Amino acid sequence: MVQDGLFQLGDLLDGIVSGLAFLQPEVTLVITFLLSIFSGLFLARKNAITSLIAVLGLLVSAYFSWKQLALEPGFYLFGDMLYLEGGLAKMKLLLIFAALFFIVLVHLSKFFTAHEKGINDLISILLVLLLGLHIWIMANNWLLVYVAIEMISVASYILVGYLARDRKQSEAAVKYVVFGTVCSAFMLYGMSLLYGLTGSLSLQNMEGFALGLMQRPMLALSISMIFVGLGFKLSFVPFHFWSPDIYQGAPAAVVGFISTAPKLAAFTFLLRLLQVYIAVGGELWEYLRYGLIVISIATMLVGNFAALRQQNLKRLMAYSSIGHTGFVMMLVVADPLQGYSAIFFYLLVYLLTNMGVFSLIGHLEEDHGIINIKQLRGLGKVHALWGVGFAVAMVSLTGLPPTAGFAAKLFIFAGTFTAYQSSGDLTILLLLITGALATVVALFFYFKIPLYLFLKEGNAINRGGNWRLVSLFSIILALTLLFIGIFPSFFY
Amino acid sequence: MLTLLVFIPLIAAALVLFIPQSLSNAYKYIALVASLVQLVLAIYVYVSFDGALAGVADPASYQFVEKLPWIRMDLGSLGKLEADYFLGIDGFSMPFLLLTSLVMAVAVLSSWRLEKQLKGFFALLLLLNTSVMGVFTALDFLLFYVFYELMLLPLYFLIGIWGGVRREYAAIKFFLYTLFGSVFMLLVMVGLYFSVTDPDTGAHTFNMLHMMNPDNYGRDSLFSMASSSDLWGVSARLIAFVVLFIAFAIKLPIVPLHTWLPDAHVEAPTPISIVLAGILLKVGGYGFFRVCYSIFPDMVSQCAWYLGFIGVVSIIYGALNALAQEDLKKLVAYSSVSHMGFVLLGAASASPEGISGAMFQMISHGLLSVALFFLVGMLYDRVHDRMIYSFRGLASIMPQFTVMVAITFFASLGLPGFSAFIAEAFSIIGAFNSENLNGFIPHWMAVAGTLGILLGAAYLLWTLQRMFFGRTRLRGGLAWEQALTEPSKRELLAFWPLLLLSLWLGICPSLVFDKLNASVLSLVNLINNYN
Repeated sequence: MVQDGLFQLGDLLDGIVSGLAFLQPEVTLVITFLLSIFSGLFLARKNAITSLIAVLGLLVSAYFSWKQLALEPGFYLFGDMLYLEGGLAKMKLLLIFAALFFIVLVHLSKFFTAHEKGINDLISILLVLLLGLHIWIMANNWLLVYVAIEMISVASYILVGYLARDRKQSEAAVKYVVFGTVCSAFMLYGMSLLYGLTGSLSLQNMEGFALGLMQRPMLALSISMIFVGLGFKLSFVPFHFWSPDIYQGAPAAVVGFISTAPKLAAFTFLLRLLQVYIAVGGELWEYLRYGLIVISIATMLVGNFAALRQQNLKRLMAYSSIGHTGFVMMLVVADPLQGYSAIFFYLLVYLLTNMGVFSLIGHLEEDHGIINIKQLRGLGKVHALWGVGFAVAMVSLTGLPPTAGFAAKLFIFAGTFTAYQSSGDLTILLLLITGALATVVALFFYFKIPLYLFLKEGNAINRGGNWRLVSLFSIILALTLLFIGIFPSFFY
Repeated sequence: MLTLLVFIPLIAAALVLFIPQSLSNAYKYIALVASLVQLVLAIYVYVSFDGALAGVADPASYQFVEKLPWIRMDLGSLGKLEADYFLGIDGFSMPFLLLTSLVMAVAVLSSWRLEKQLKGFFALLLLLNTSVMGVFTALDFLLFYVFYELMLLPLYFLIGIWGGVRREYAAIKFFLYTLFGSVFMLLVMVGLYFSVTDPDTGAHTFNMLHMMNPDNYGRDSLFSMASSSDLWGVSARLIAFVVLFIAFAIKLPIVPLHTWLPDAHVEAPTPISIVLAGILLKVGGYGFFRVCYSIFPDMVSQCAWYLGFIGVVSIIYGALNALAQEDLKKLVAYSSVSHMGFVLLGAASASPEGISGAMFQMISHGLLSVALFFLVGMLYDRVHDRMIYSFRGLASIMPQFTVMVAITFFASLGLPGFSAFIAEAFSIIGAFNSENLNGFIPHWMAVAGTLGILLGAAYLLWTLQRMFFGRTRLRGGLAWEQALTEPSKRELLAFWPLLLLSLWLGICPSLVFDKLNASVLSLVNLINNYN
């Protein structure tokens, strides 16, 4: 007996040692986090060293992730705790990019730089969040999934509430915490049920089901509960109602980050989970699929139709992001096996556009006090370059050529269509039709922004301030989106 | 060559953007020069175009072909994505290149006195020019779609910023209508893409010419003719045909999807009305022939009756509406609806005469509706009013202008000698022949179409009588009388070529028919193969 144990220990150690080599990006993040905390402790609050350390750390981590791109096919680490493959490394790079983008935005934001708390702590928290995201997309064990999600959630709560000055912002932060904890409690409960049913915490613990050993109602209950937690992170219907309030209350740079990076990780995880369940097949997959198709359709419709009535820029973007969630889910559900490429491309474009738009919105809010669409009246005519960039971003979010948004939409449609062609399942066709209709609706609300920027006559206020930097930023954003739109093959 | 034609305006637009505001007078000259260069190139293309080569479904007989790989992507399990930068023309697209460059030049001339935000206006107008040219030359469906959608953006802003009182409403209405059609076109495009493979590389392709060849369809792909797959009990190809038809019909426009047109026309500034009526409506008609008819020739026989019926309804309903209008611009807009109905009627007959007539009607209407809007714009420029009842007895103040209006009215009501006569005559002959030839549309539709010509005469002549004859009485009184001056040299320069061209085409229709005939016959053959 003792001998056996020792052998197992030996295997375990071997597994850990061999696995560590593949954790370089994450280990780098941990080290960077520690360094940033220490630098924050010993240096003045306004010191830029922390950010510098963070940027360097992120770049090193990106380098290690880059090296993992070639890992095909995927394999398991640490027993079967983690899963790694090239496609996931791609996602990691995107996440790191989002974090870098966020650091730049924070430095440009008056709210953050002028705040007495300084930004050093924020940067440390960001690194933890990123670590959580990295672990989540690789996690192959429900416990690890839960730890990662909690890491992300707690860090996000802090980011959202970091600057809370007035009631509205505190309310946003508290709402976020309350909804978040309730949803993750559901998720934890679901996981524990699943553990009870299967006796294993691995994602691939479904053999019992295939053998008909599980009670179906209990299984349905546990999986539904897990999807409550995922739904909160992805903000799909009916777990979307928190996002407009939070988006409205939180600083724009933070919203830009939490509306993109966690979703990216969540979609990656969802895709992996569905790949497991499709392999299990049978009734489980059938029910899950139809459920998710209904959710996807509902999310597209709710997101786009609710956006029609919004006046606040950030709330508009919140519903827009719900709509986009539904759109990506279309492909995730229609064909989870087709890999990360199309979804990666969509998320890349979505991340670029969304973070870009939120930084424009942040500038408007912080420097000019503009929070409503109506206040944009005639502004595009005064600051033409800036306005054109903003308008192009909106065109891209609508998904019209020749912008990146169109290419992304085309790939999603293409992927979903092949899924239809190979399965002949009319519900998938329904998804496609809803997606097309949603685009028409989306045009209407996204174009409110160019409408107010260019078509409405402006008033003389809001003309001061420095627009040069933001104009440059906005036109670079527009050119990038156009370039990706015309030559998508570079980024696919 | 075609690349130049497409991208010269884009280069000019970039030039306009980089020239500082202080030299804003230069913008219109840049735009004009770009359009004139385009016109010269288009004339060269026309002259060297070989009318004996058919094009349509035969890749070898397309002319001025340019083909470069554009997107080559490995989509893993989805196979390889292949889209080309593929331009080429046949008889169906060539006339439109000439028309586009001509109309664009006229549009620039008619925006000469514009003062509001010139930089944006000319940049957008030139961008519009690029996208329209792109639509008429693209032979790759993805490229076609990109240009097709790109058209909407500048137009939205051109109507929305420089338009009339309800411009925002008109701009977004126009945009929503067109987008509604085109997102479903996108789905069909994706479907076609996955149904068709390039015979050379074996990859899926957006190449429209490959889509026209039934051999390139995958065995059990959705749109394959052999597999005849159906959706909810209806043949997939039929659904695709109808979806594409609706997308283009919104542009054409047809009753009942026409309501964006009067709004857009009324609110748009004169140059944009000109572009809208002169070219953009033709994109719809061109789309029928290039996409609906050529890729789904087997569906024409099933749908022809309905197409013809919609055409007749458009003719009559448009004319009746025109009769009731008090706004001159709305009258012209509804007359466009009526005239485009002939395009649909001719197309539905799928006879050589009918299709030639439809093509001719588009060109003729391109010239005459531009002339009409230009005349309305002249009036509006002078007194900022265009209600029919605000004017009476204009003939005695503006005799020269009256002559121009009278000739244009007679030309567009189908007076023999002008292009509209040939066009409408051919469309109706085609419609008459159809019952005996292929049984697509019954005789009564042709008869009803003729009724439309009669109504056209009624509303145009009645308007002429109301506005120009009788004793002079103007709503604006003496101030107007002074403001209503005779046309300037620039206006004459923009106007007469249109009318003379219409006359010339009316006398020698072979100028167009010679270049068109081979393509038309080839399309008719394509359709008859499946009948």
